Amino acid sequence: MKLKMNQQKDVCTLNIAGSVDAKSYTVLRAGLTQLLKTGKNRIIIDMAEVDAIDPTAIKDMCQLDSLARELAGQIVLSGLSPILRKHVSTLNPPPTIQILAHSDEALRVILSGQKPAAEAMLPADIATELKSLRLRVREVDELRRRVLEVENQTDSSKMREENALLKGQVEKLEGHVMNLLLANRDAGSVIDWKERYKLLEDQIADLVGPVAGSAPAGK
Amino acid sequence: MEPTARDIMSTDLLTVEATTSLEDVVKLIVSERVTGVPVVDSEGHMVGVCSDYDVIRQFSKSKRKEGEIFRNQIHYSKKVETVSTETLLSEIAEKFVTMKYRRLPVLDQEGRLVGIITRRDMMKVLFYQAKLNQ
Repeated sequence: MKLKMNQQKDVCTLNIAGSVDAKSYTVLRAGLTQLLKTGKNRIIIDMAEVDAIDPTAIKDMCQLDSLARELAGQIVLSGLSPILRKHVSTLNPPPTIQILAHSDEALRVILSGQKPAAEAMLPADIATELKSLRLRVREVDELRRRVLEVENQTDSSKMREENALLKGQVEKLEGHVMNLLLANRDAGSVIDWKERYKLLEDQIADLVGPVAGSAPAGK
Repeated sequence: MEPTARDIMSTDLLTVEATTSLEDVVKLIVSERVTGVPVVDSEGHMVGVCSDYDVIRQFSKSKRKEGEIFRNQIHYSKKVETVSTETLLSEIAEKFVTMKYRRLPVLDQEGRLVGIITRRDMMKVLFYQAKLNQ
């Protein structure tokens, strides 16, 4: 096992390469405890070049992570291969050590003090399934929103059409009324005024009848 | 082997210069949730510390309490206790206890500020040492 350390702000990153067996873990553990004893409790263990980890090492790292968290620190594992990730997840019941894909992501998370995402605390396969389900739910929500939008558009366009038709009929009616008024403005004598008025009313009723009948129900 | 200041100091430093305005220092102290910031010159040599106490004193001593005061340069403490990178943990703990300081700046051999140790850092060190030595 090869071990290299670097520090960015107050986050220490340990880059490990090779196999972490019980013997070589003692070196890694010494490094981790030394960091904690000097108050460095935000640690990334980058395992991008690790091919195997001893199960007892995983359990011990989880315990050290719990200790780091007691004072708002955290130990994060990064860069694990899918097989190692599954291996660690099995031995690491939630909610303990956080596993992230890359050391850059781990640094960003640890610096921002973000709480581990729920997915990160679950075994890898369940986390992936949960993630895809959440995506599907989001897609369904988006589709529902779009359907509502389209429905609203249909309603308003139908109303606009009806409105235009009614407007045309009203204009036509107004024109006829005006013509009738012009034709009958000379009433002649007071005697036949009632007859002329009756005739005018009948003519208006003939015109109004079909227009009123085409109006939508409830109007 | 006993840890030294170099091992436990924070190197993520917040500093200001003597020409910094009071407004900027107030913003820094409040937003970063610290109790004071080291004052350095253009070459990184430490010249003092501007603490929350210094800020409040500058406010209360000023006759003009309006916004104008924020444009003034900071008043800061020039007499500051420091430690070197090689100072041992036990000596640092002793200084915190006897002098009641909130923070101890760490200087290199040229007097440049390279880190800082706060009471909070000390508590972390003492906590983890006790837990891991059980």
